[in-house]
Amino acid sequence: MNQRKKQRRTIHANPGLQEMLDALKKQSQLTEELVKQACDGSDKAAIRVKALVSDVIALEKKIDRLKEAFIETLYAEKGFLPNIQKNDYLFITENIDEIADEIEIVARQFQIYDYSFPDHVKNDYISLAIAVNNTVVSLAEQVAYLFKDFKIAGSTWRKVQEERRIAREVSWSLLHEILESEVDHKKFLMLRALVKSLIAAADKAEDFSDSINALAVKYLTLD
Amino acid sequence: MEIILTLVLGLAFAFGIGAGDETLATLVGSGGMRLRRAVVLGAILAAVGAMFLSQGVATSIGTELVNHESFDFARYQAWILVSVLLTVTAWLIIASRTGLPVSTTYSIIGAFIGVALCAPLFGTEFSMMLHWSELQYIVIGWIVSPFLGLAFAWIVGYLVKRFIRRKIHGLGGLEKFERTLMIALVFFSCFNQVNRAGNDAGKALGIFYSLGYAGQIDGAMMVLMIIAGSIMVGLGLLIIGRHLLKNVGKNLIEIRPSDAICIEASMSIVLIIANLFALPISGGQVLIFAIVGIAMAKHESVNKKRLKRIVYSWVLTFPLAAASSAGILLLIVGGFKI
Repeated sequence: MNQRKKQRRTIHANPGLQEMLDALKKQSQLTEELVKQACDGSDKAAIRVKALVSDVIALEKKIDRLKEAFIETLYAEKGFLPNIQKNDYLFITENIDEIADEIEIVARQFQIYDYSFPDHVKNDYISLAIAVNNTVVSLAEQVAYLFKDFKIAGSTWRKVQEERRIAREVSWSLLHEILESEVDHKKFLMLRALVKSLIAAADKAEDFSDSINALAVKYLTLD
Repeated sequence: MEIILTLVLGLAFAFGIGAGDETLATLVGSGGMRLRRAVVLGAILAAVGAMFLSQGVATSIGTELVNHESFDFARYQAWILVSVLLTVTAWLIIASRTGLPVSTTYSIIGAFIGVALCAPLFGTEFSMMLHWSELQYIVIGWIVSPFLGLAFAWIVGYLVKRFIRRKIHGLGGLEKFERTLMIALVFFSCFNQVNRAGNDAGKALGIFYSLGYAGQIDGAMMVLMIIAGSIMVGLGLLIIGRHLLKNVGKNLIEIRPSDAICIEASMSIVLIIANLFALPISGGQVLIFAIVGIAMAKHESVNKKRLKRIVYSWVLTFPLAAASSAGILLLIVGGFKI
């Protein structure tokens, strides 16, 4: 089967999109692991941190490539989808890519700064990383449900909202803890930047989740 | 000389009919076919439809509308046709300039009424000039066809929504459903292209039938002109019609195949009925009412202001075309004392 025919067939059931979602989930899970290892502070964990940073960045690049290939397929000469649906597919791929970019920024923080966390904030950082990961994973499930069942996609939206609310709460408490800490200015700025970049990924996921919910409502009430 | 002028104008009219044919716009607009491919396929199908399915409508307009026995038909026939053709061509130009779906059917019948208004010029009476029973038959077709288009589109739309669409739960299923419908849409669009070209081209080819049956041109010439006219319909779509298809299909209509199929299925039914009864209907009118029908089935609002504007243009076409052809005929026959 030639490449074009193959591409045409892959639009249906969206393996390209599913691959992007899988990569996003993996990237988010690795970021949670990255924060956990960084909080560990051991030499072995430090080596693991470097490897995880590379993996997270590589996954962002993979999502970029998948997005490009998917868009090419979407607008390919023989590719077919109603125009109304094409725009929605494009919107979905762009948003997945934007969340992957936000997660990549978290990994880049570890690349530019050698974090050593004060003991009393370690658990909060881990809790935040878990909540952010849960938000992104729930979002990926919501997007997958959009292709299977609009109603479940709508109900999964609440799960994303809840996970992001937890992440938000943890981030405020963490920022408070950092402000109370006796750390130098540079370290303070870097600790705060990490919180901000983690919560930015959750915020972006929540925004996208709202849009997916709107799409589910749109398609449910289309006729 | 006037015969040659009539033949040339008849061919130009056939070209204009092809140029104004937007039958495949729903197929292009729903993404089912690329513009270039749609234009080439449309041109071939339009030529085939014009050649083989236009005889009924062409005979209705060309030979059954004017009462040949009420005046010296042979003497005035060519000039009558010239005035009708000039009027209809002017309407085609107005249609392309304003973007309004001005009906060539309304304009051609209006133009014949204008001819009847000039009855005293031919030494006869207004009531004797046309076969009014034939005209009545055509007018009933005008009134009934758009409402049939609306009703069938509504019924098909309702059935699709009630029995198929509600069973689809996700984008994946929707994608499969639309893809399957696209195959049916290609079939219905092609079917409509042939049938509509048969109905529309009949209005232009009726001129050649009229000249042929009146003995102004011989049988071989009539057949030759019908072939040439059919090719001109195809060429009109190929050369000028591509812009209309692009405008309507890509800019105005952005619809899903499931909506397009309801519109095209409704068009198919109405066109079959019209061609069976040799009724010259307005394809554009049926299309617009079918779109209204599908909007009603989906409980969507219709742009009433735009719809009113279209309906006014149809209503206005009739008296203006009558006045135009009467004026041209007065100028030619009265002015030059033919």
